[in-house]
Amino acid sequence: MVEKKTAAGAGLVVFITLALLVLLFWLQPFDLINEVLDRAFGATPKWTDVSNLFTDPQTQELTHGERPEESLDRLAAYWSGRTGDRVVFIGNSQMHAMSLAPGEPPPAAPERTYTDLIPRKPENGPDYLIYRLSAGGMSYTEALWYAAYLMSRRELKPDVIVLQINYQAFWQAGIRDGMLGMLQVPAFRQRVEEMAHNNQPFSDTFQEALNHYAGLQAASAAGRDAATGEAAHHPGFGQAVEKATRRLLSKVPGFDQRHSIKDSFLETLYRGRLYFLRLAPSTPRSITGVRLIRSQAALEETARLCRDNGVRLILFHAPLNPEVKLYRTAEDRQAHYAFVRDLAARYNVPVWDLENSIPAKDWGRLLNGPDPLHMGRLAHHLMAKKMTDILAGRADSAN
Amino acid sequence: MQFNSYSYLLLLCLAVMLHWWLPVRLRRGYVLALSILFYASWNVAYLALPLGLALGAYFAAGRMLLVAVDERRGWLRAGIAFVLFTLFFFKYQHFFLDNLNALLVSLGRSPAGTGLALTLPLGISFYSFEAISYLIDVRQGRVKALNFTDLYLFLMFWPHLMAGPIVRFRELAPQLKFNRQFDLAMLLRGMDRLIWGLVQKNLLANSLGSFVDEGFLPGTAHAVTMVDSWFLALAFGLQIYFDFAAYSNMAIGSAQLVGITLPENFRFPYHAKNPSDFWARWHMTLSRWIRDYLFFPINAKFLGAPGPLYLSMLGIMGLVGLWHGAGWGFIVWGLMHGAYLVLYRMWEAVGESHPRLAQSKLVGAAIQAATLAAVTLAWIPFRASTGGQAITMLRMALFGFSPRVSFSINFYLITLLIAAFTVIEPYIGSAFEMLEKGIATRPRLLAANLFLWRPMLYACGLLLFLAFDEQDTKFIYFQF
Repeated sequence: MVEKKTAAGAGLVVFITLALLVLLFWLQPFDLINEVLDRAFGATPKWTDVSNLFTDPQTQELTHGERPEESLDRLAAYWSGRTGDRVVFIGNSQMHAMSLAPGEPPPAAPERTYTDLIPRKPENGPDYLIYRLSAGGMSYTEALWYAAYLMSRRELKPDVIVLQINYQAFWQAGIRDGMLGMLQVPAFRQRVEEMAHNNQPFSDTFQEALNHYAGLQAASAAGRDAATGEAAHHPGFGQAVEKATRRLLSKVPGFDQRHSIKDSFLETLYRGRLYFLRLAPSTPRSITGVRLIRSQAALEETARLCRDNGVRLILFHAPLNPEVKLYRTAEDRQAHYAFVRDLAARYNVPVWDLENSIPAKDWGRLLNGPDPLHMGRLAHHLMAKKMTDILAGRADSAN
Repeated sequence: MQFNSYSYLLLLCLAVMLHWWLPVRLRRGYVLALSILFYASWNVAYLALPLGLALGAYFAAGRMLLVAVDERRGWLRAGIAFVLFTLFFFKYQHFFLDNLNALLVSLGRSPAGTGLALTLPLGISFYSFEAISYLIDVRQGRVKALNFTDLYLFLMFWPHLMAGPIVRFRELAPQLKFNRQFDLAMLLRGMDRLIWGLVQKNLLANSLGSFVDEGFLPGTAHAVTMVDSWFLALAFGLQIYFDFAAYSNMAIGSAQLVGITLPENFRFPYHAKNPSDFWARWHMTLSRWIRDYLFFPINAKFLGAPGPLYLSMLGIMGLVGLWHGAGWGFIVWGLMHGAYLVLYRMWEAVGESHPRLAQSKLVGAAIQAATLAAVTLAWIPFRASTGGQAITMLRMALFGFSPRVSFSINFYLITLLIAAFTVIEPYIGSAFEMLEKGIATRPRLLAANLFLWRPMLYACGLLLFLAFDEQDTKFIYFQF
């Protein structure tokens, strides 16, 4: 038998540990560190942070890629019985997020475009049904994923896809977990499987997504949390015990905050990158290698898919903050433009050039410098006006 | 049930409390029951395999103990053959048939068959080697008495069951009486190891996992640049180190909580001074097994004959690779390490005739740097999905001169950050040891250590573990 005093000592250590853990949860130490760093390095005020805008669910996918199938089902119901040109904007957070001064109202560019287009509709002309399908940090494999999904569901098939071209988006990769639920649509899943076997540079990414989805499904069937799906192949009772434990723990107050601590910790690392290494999102870069090849192939496949399905594709070079020198060399910019131009020529796709359409003052600010992606409210209006003019056939910005 | 799952940690707390509350005579049965439950939590059907191996080893050992030490060779061979056949059947059957079929097809013959669809039982590579070590120890007279419960508990003891450390019967069996007095210091050391393992796994290993997975997708291997290849190899080397070291720490920590000391498995392997030193620091219990049961007996036969010795080193390391997995990538990894060991052995021979050169600090530093580079490079075939991808990435790493990079800047920064941590890790360890010693000599600080300093470290570790718990929790070494 254990000596009582020593056992009590062990119990006390465990008790104090748990008490300190609760204290750390309450203190949110990484938030405190982040605040100290921001003050020390003179970060821009909080209100200049970009805001995600959840407005009209009939014209916008509200989850930003985290569960788009719900929004898309709602869209299918909304579009059914309505006639008109179905225009879907696909892009990254520039489409839905903006920097707002205190009290400033939305809307973002695509929604504003819709509002502006309505009065310009020719008499007896077709109506416009505009929808924004965007996700923060969207990759071109995800853009292809979206496009393939739209074309796999008759009720969602658009007439026009307007696809945003950002240089930095060519460095994004993968399919986020939130989009995997779209594979529940059999026609889409089949299309993805075909593309996964096509031996294209993005095929591995699609195969990974299929594998990951299968793992999650198996885990779900076995009663396991989706996040730990890998162990689903083991049919013992461990998974059920783990699930029950997690369910129990989720009732402990504050337990669900643990992932926000991770976010804060990652933000601390990000601040280290910004403040100490001076590596910001606006740092000029050359995009090369694997991700570029994969992104370019996915973009080309999107163009092919649109052509084969009779969907008109329009590309547009997204606005770029004049204060940001995003391309590391002039050759990087030339190569980027040449790729888009060549692709557009091969698939007979119009390209709008909005790169220099927004003046510097209308852009957002990041912690320690200009935001290369997110704009202010006025900029969204300007962008919407340009798009409206082009869509209504009144401008000749297309290259 | 993973070591880094909530259910394991909570049940471990309860299990440890009950263990120390129970009278000593009940503890063996209790720990055996816990171990069986732990293995069954993965798959109840798996239970038959270690039981079958234990019965086979027990039978062979029983036969050996009936005769004199010199006459035990036949039953030793039979016992080892039984264990190896089981391992081959479950782990290597498909690899063998796939290669045989490829050979037959290339010769214009029809394939031999596809084999049985079997799931690889977790931990089989580990407990098979432990069963073999038991048989050899019996053969050599180191184990004198036969007791099935001892043997079964030795194989099944849950902390080392799934992925080691690979333990010897003679070092674990005496402890499995569980008659040790409750020792708060040992309990705290167990908690130290357990919590540090949780942080290593969730924060360090998993943070690199998604980057490595993307980088090693085979379809775009041709576009991976020189910088990418080196960083991917380094990132995977760090991932597998922290993943496996985390598992080993949690295994050692779990065992310490019930008063059992398991051997160490890692000692800062990326600080190795040469390839031989690397294997004295990396997966130390496997190295020890290979050294004692393969290398020494073979080496003894080739004394004074470097050619056959070098060939045997290559062959042994190829087998070490094969032990890790049924794939050519693992074999190539093992052969690369074999080649490094042979080259180093050759260098040592040169050093014997040029002692000044051998003792030069500059040369030592160059060998250390070359060892690190060579070890890093060898991770490419180990992790690559196909032979073609491995060749392409190795070619790019060695000859694809280009400063360009393919992946997010975060990948390179996180890899460098974790590599930097790996560099200072031994010094942090030393600092903690010095602190412990300092505290031990100052009784007034003992309470502060026990009730403030340690709980604070534990709370910080648990905070990081909890914050990063959503990621994939599988351990890489489970598949071996």
